[in-house]
Amino acid sequence: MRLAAVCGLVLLLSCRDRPARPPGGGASGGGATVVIRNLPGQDRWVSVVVENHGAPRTLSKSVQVEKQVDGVWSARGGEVQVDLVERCGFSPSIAAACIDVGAGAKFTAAPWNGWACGGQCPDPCRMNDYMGPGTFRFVVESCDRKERFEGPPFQLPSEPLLRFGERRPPVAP
Amino acid sequence: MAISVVQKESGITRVLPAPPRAPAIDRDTSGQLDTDTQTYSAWFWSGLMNASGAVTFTGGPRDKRDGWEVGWIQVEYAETNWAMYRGQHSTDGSLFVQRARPPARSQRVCRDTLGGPETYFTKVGDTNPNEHKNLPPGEPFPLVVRVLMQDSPADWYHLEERNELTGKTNYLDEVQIELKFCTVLTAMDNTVPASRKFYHLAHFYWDVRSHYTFHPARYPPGHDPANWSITPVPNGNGGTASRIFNFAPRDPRVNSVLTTPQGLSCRTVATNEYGAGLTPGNASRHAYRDRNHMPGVR
Repeated sequence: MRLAAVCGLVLLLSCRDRPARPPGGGASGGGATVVIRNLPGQDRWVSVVVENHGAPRTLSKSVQVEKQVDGVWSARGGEVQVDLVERCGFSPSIAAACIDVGAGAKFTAAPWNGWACGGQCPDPCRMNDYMGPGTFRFVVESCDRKERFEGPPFQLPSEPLLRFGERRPPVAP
Repeated sequence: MAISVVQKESGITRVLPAPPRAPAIDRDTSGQLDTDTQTYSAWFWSGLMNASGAVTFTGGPRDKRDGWEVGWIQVEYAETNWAMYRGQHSTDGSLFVQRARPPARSQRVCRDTLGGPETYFTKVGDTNPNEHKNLPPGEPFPLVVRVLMQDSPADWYHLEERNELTGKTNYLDEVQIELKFCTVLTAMDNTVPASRKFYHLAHFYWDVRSHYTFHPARYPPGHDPANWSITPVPNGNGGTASRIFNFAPRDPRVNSVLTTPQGLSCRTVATNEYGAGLTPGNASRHAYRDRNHMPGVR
């Protein structure tokens, strides 16, 4: 009841928020043929992994990054860019809005480091910020945006993760 | 009684400029970059600029609070952004990439938001819940809304570029980047969107500056930092912030985009700059046949 009240309030504020679910990592509508997982990587960067256990699918290339705030999943809108791309490229051909994932295919995207701008692929940034700390999840949508596949939650630590080219200063002996 | 801003009890309380950081050479471990493109790079990440502010409101218990927002509006009002590349041999040529002027930079001034160009505040919603806030329900008037602000602008240049005139690889030789911003603490009354009102309560100016020369210690240097000598140009690096000024900026450059409709956010303007500098034939990219065509020969 309390959760519903919170959701109602947030929806009044025109956010795309949804109540927190147990970590299922599948479709929000049940019958999950598309499963979303997290793959921890170097320097605690996190990749979104898409496993298609059903028929071939066309998925939106743009991945939603949601943050859990007071038990409610809150969408990050267009402020954080994470895409279903295996590698970062710089040609206009990567601008396709959707990708095909074959039956039984597994797709691992380039990892994300928690920064809003340039967090997954290098980008010249003016306004930027580290999104952590907090509990986050990736949400992949069908190309027509009618289905969504929610990934399990993961944590971003308090200390901002390294960005491209950054190295931790050496620890004094 | 309508909700109103107590301007004399509102303002920016602290500004910490972005600490300077030395450029970094592309790390070589992720395998994340597309090796079909020239992606070994020098990264110019600034440290975090921090600011904090507070806005005091008065009103009655039955006043409509929905539509009141507090946050920061930021404008990038000036930029220096160029790089020089040189080949190993005299006939390998040189390249000059000018990102901060047309056609690479399509507009001198832009509003700087994480969201689209139609947004006003630097960040909205829960992207950073401390940076943008709605008027809290339930808390009695007078009430104080406190907001923090962080930014860490960055840019990057490839370590190598192919000179389109000579067909030879030219190596990064010198980079100067200066990004200048004005940041405004603002309360917005959007209770009636058709007559939206902004209350600009205080502002400050700040910048980040990087100016370095690069010299390969061996050819080809690749992206191993050990193969590059990177030297700061004296007085060319740092981050500064002005004192805090009350109310709205008077600078017409800043006011021209503070709350007016704009086509591109600074993020998109910067991305377009980068793309233009990569494109052979673009007027922002000047290729020469002589390694020493440009001054500053080493």
